Amino acid sequence: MKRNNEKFIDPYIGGALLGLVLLLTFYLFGRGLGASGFFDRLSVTLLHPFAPNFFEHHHYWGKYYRHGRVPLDNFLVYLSIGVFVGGFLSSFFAKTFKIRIQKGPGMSNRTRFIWAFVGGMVLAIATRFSRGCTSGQALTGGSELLIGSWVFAMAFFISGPVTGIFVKKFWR
Amino acid sequence: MGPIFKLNDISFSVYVIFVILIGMLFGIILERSGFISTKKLTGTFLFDDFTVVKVMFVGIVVAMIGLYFLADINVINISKVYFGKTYWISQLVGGLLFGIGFMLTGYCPGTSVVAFASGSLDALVVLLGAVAGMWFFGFGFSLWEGLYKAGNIGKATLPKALGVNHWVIIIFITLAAGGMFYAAEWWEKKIAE
Repeated sequence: MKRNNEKFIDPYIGGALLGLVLLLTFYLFGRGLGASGFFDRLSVTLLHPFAPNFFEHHHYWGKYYRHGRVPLDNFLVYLSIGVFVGGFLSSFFAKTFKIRIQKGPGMSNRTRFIWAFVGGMVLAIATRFSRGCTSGQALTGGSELLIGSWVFAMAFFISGPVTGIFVKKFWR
Repeated sequence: MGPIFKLNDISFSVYVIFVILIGMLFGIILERSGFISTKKLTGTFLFDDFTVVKVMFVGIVVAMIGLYFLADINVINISKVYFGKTYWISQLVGGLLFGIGFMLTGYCPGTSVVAFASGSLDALVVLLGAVAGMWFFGFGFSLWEGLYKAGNIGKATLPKALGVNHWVIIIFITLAAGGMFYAAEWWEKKIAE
């Protein structure tokens, strides 16, 4: 059977490029990559107009408004804008762009959307406790040799396969 | 000497342009590595595609060696590089939840952005769910604040905690990654037959 890899680049080359971009990020900005922080900052920004005072003094979200700042004026927000644009251009020119719904065989769109939403919630909540996701913790913190990042990565690599046992029919 | 933007007075607009450019490179690499495919991403834990393991760990090894080498030869002032605090109990719980969310959605936060950018509508639903999840976490914060702050051991790194030179850990992780790549290749070849 032919492996379905010809659409994408060799993973070792991809990994080397990813490592070099992360290294360049350290060198330029003194910090690494990240994604989940953008979601947190976007989420509170969407609600802020309804009760500005509440969110600016909130026990958790208040930190994003300290010293007259706004949550969206942040490294992770600009970075995520770039990720979206880069991802679009890359898929457009590589001809992988396609309006589609990715799901396992025999799964209805409705079921896929329900679990995507619930799973998205779980992912977001997870990143608050871990203080970052695969990019901010596993990749960035991992290469900085942070203990918390390696704890996160190991827990992720345990619960992933265990969950996989129960959801295999979602995907295959 | 780096970090360039921390040690120099550079205008805000130049800063934003450079951050967006780095983000674009990040997005291009994620897309070109196949991280827009839920089949590849879930394959990590269904053990039939190790693309993610290879890309992630080569990335970690390259950045890890690079960062500590450039720090050792004084090209990067590592004391100006942000090192997050460890809250190991909270992060352990976060990692366990993250694996569940990853296998339910088929994405992680960064890859869901790239997958949506490549036209995958299910990734948009994941993004909407993530916004709802952030609201849930924030509104209930007082309920889980104790857990959120549990296991705080400060800016702890493996070499410091173990009392060894950082190169000992770097070599160990590099060799472990190499062993993992070898096993991944062997396994992928075996299941292809």
